[in-house]
Amino acid sequence: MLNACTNDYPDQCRLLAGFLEQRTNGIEADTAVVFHREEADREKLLCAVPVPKAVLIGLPQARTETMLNQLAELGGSGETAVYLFAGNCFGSELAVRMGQRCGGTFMAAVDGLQCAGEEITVTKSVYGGHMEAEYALKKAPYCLSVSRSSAEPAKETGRSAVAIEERTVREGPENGFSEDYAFIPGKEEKNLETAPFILAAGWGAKSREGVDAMAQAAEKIGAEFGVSRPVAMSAWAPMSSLIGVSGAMTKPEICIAAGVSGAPAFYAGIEKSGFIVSVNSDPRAPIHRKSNVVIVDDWHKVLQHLSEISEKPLKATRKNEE
Amino acid sequence: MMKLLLPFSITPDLEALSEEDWALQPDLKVDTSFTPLDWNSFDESALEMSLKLSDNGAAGSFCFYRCALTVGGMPSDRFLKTLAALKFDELVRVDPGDADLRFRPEVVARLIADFAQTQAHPDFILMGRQTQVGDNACTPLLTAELLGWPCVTQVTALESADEHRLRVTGAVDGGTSVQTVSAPCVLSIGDAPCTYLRVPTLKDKMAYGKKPITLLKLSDFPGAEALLSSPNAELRSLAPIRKEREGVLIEADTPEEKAEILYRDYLKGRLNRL
Amino acid sequence: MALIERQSIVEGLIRILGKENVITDEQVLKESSLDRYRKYEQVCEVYTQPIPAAVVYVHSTEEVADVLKFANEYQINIVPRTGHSAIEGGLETALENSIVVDGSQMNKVLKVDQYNMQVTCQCGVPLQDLDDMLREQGYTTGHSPQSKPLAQMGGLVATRSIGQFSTLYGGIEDMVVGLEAVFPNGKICRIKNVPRRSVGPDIRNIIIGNEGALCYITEVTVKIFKYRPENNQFMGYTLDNMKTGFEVLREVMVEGYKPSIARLYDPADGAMSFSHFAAPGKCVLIFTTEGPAAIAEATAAGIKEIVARYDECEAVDPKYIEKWFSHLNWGPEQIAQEREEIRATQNIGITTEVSGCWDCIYEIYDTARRRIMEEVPDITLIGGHSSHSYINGTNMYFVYYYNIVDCPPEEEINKYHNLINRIICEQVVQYGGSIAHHHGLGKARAHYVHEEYGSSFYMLDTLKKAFDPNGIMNMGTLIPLRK
Repeated sequence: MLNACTNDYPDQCRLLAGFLEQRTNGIEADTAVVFHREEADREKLLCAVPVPKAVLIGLPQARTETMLNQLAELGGSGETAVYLFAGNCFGSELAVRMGQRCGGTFMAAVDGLQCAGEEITVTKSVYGGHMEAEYALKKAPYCLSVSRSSAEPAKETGRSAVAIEERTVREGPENGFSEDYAFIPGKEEKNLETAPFILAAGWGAKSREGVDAMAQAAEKIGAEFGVSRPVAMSAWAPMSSLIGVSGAMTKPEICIAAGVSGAPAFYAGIEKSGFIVSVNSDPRAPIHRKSNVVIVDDWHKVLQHLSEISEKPLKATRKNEE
Repeated sequence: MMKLLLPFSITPDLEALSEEDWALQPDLKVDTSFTPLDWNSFDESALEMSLKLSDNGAAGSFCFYRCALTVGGMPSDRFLKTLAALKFDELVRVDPGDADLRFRPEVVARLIADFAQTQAHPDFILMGRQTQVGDNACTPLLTAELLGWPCVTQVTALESADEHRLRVTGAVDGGTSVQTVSAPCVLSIGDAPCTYLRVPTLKDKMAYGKKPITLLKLSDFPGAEALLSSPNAELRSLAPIRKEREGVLIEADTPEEKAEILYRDYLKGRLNRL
Repeated sequence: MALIERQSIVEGLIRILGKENVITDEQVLKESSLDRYRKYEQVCEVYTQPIPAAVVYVHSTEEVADVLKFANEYQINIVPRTGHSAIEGGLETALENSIVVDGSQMNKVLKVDQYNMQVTCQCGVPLQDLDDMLREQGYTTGHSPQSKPLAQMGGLVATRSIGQFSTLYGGIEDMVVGLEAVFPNGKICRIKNVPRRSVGPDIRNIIIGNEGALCYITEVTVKIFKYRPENNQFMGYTLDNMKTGFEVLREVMVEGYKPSIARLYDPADGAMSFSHFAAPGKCVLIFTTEGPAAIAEATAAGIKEIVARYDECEAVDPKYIEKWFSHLNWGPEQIAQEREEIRATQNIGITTEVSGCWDCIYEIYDTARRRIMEEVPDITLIGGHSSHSYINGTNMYFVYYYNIVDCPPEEEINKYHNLINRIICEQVVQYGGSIAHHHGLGKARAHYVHEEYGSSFYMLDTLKKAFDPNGIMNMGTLIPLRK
């Protein structure tokens, strides 16, 4: 189940392709449902779809209530089917609502999916990322959204799908509850999710000034800058720099976590890092055990010095890339 | 007057648990009873946002009726009393008894929907998008479905549009949505910055904090209770997630020396390969 | 007032310490003009105190002596500082063009003497680092104040600090063996490390608790103890009345038991930490015992026997207490979070600690609490606990929170904090307790020094005049400035 009305469409395709490849067992995905704007280029849409067949549904506006009516129709057909959604805003809302509306089973942020004989089981993280739960799903249709931290997104989604059905939907009364709907595109995405080198700041930054100082250090050493949820919730840094289950799921080669305690919800956002360095003055911070290299000291002094000694070679590296 | 229903939950502080605390009890439970309790942070945002509606200028003069509802044991009463002192109009606790509702959002949602339909009759339901323990992220969505109401998700800001409508800001893929929403509607609260719940004064605690809490039982909601026996998704197992790495400690006398070792032995080569 | 201009002060300091050790960055100076006594001003970044001329980092006793001589010659106010965790205004720069002398870089542990069970360290050694290092070797300082992750040895001795296990190990005055300190004329005095001596007054106590108003502490030697956490025993009870709780505490002390922790929380304070097991309205009583297994067990057994005589006390699962015990201290993260919560909610929490003998501590607690509730606006919580007991009495740690309503940051301290402080001090003085148990008088409570000392103020005043005749050491602390 894909939403091509938003610019994260390619990411949804790559995540679901990666999930199907790495995190499922005994599942054959054959059809994609793609919501798109009426004016969208059909060829381009079909190119990204990670399965052989596609149903294209054109919409005047990307509104979830409208999409949901379409989904209810699809899911109401009585077929035993699994409907997979990416774990973005669209997917985590619609998987659950579709499952409920069709009288099936729903689950958000699934990490893995197995099908053996008649039985379908899923795994997902619970207890704020401290535990993994396994569920047996009992009632079709199964509407699941995929955790954004579950699979490595596929590099290529591979094939180009064939459109087996196309329809266009008029907006009905379902959006009558809402007036003056305006979509404000987010600022140019900081490339946290694709950055090869990230500096992440936690509560240990102590203040807005501390966060600013860290952001400057990040710039000097050539790292993208991200923050934990408490930092963003205190408005010390914009929400767009949030790392973790409610923000960016990063996978840099190198991640320096400074003043971060290491709560699972944050750690999920950096756990795919190739190499993690933690800098925290608290020797008991849980992040240390989840890092490759640990410095127990004042992050300010460490980063300051690091930016002094590493500034030159890094700039040289970046220039080469350009 | 605008009627708001605020279902909220109380959560143990999971970050206070040590490694051995994650050892599992026989019935797939984690013993969190030794850990202090706190508001679920998304619900805390919802509660504070509902109060902020009365704060601002002329729009603050609109009239609100706030009903807070929680499903939980006795320890939740302290939190309800805080809300009473913050002048919430109605406080309800549903005691789940022995029922294990951690992974049963459909039961909780049914209960909330039934309460809304038969007792509270709210214009809007405001609640956090998920809790920590169950991590289900379903309850507000299911509540909307059960009531046949629309739902706005990932809400980050609220203000009064007029006496009957709210101006709602929410996160959507690729940006932000802003809309004027008419009742009835479920608002699922996401990452809303600067929404710590305010603190009532002792005088308000004395004046309002003794407002009685309506105590209900799960059996008062037969629709919800009936769902208990046959979950569509049945919990099979729970296992602690360990994510350990080697954690090599860089030892030196000064932070500068540590930074140098980090750069020389661990970062330089890796950075050059980027 | 200094005899030379700000610029000349800075130049003189640079001549002594070198440019890199003399900080004149405006933000650093502003933050160095106060401590957590003016927490709300700190949070709002409003600075009402005179901004110091410089913050200087010293690296040796000789450097401290040189700086003090310089300041003494030109009558420049010196504020000694190490961990910057003070909360009673002791680190405020009350006079124009003060010099904050920061000893945090004198952070070497000089000698761990396991045979004589003592450790010698410079003033800037963080207590957390010292104790962590000792624990790895099987020892501990026995000193564990809540400020442990922040505080450093010099400041701990200067404020007569006390740790959470004081009922067993004592306050810092019971731990300090010997010292080195520098006086305003540059004189360096060392007091040697011996088990005890009878050679006149115990002059260690001129230095311990001087709050930087007499001398600058550069080195301390404290006792160490065997660290045996495996023997720790935990006990917790809920009860209805503070009066009963004080009776239990008294009996435990009078019968001669030495628990490491003996604490009594009132319902309001207790609710902040124990509401997951104590019903609303309940007081909470906590004991822990430690040391050799036989002693820890016997002490625990004795205490249980005493508590059992009070029907009102209901035992709770010791695991609650053990969990609480493992999260006792405050670090930088909690302070950052607290600051953000204050900004967001305009609700602030402060503490004031006093002491009194068994016959008056309840009255002090009860009357102060009632008056605060009645006389102070916008209070959201007033409560307290007793956490350090002695054979003749105990302390009371008042904890209070209030909403800051219609009040600019610079007026907050008078509208709320000082008003509460005044009520508490008045009640303490009325009943004959002490107005400061372990945070020091600082500048916040210096105004009450005459009531506190009575006729013995003569001795304190004489010490100040004798050791600091030019009035350069942390003026306004201990003895208030004349307006």
